[in-house]
Amino acid sequence: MLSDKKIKFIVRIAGIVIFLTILICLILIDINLSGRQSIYVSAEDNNSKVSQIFPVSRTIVNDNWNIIDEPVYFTTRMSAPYDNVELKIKYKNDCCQQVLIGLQTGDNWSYEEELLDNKDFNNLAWPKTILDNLSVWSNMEGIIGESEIISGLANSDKIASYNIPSDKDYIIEDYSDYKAQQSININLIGDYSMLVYVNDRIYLDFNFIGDNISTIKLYDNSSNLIKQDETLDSNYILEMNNLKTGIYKISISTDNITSSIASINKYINFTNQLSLNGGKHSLLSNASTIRIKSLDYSGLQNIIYADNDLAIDTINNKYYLRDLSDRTYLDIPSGNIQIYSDGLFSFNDDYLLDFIPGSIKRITDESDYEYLIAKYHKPIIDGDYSINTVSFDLASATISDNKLRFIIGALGSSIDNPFIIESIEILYEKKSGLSFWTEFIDYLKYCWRNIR
Amino acid sequence: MRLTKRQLMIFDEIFAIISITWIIYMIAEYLKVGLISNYYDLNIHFIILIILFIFRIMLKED
Repeated sequence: MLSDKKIKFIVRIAGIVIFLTILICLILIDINLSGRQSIYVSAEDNNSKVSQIFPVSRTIVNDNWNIIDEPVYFTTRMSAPYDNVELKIKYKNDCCQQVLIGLQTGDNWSYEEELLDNKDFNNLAWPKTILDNLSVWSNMEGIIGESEIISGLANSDKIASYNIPSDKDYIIEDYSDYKAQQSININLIGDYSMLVYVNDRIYLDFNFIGDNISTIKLYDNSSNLIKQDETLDSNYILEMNNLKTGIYKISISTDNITSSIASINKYINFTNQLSLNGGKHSLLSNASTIRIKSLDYSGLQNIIYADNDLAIDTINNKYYLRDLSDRTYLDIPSGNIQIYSDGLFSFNDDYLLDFIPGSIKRITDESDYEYLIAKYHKPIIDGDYSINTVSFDLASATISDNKLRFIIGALGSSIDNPFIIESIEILYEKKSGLSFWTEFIDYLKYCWRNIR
Repeated sequence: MRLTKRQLMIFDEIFAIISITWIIYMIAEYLKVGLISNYYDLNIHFIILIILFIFRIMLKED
């Protein structure tokens, strides 16, 4: 017969062994020695590792996620450090010219974006080859082989590219600056960004109305910040010489009204969102989809675009112009609206940039390019749905509380015409060939970073 | 319900181990969200603890 002491000892050891084994197993599952972890999630089939799509006001959930406004977000839990994440999304897109998926990177609200769906690229009938995970379309007669495409690419100047850095300089032939400054009345409220084509010199003379600080940032064509200024004055001149030819980006943060810009640079194009102050505006755009919203009664009006008109008759309602051509004129009689698009706007009819190098969004069979390179593959059609995959390198991803944050940009989605997601499959991948101890130490470091 | 002194001792040992485990798992979960809760339900663990505790109150030594 065992003594009380021995029984106590046996029970203690057995208990500790059982629970420690469970703990060790859980950690091993977390570390995932196979190097690949796949998570499947759908609107019906929740998974604690993936959040629902939010904000809820922009999504209707039934059998699918119906995205009725953009952007929307979701987060995924990553249990151990991985090097790459791939999202395989089953979706139905009847609303949007293009749909983007982004992964949060850096400290700010910035996202590295990839194309999930683009109707122009899907409908393009040019011969196509896959080269280093990139799709290359060729519009040249007789070029279909891989080697011909590679040699053709090296010699061509007419290359359009999407989401890959372009090593070719963007040069507009026969361009010269205005001899004397030309002023354009823009009459914009608050923040905006613009792209300016620079050939050696940039000269922009901003006129502000208001007493607030204006912050002006100038980025070169590789997105490096090259100048930043703050001003309280009603006038600010941004001037730099000896610049490399290309497209420069300027972002203005202000609570003032920008009444006009005088410049010697011809191409001054505005991106993303503009808040138009009261008064008549004429704009030219190459966007495929434009969203318009009036914030007060003074913004209710009839907007004329491409021989059609759009009645803005309700405050805060979002109105969409869809399937637009690559040149759309907008006549806005009384202003006081917010406009948002997936393309560029110009206040000058003659100077709208055809495309931004490295980020072309629109291309058709009639386009005047010899090649198109994009980090994009045509989706696989599965009944009414399409399936496509986007992948991200996690080296620069923001990981907060062991979570990755994704954005879905589906400009054009609305309650009548939502962007529908049936399922999302997330595949995390690690570099292969690491020893158990390396992986274990990486895992501890990853956990420690989260605790701190 | 009556148990022998030895049976009560074993019961108390098991109860103590489950309690300490729950605390360790809670700390592990706090330090790394999702480590335990994704595969193992800490709430059920806690409910079992409460049931055992109530049961322990009703037990008497023979």
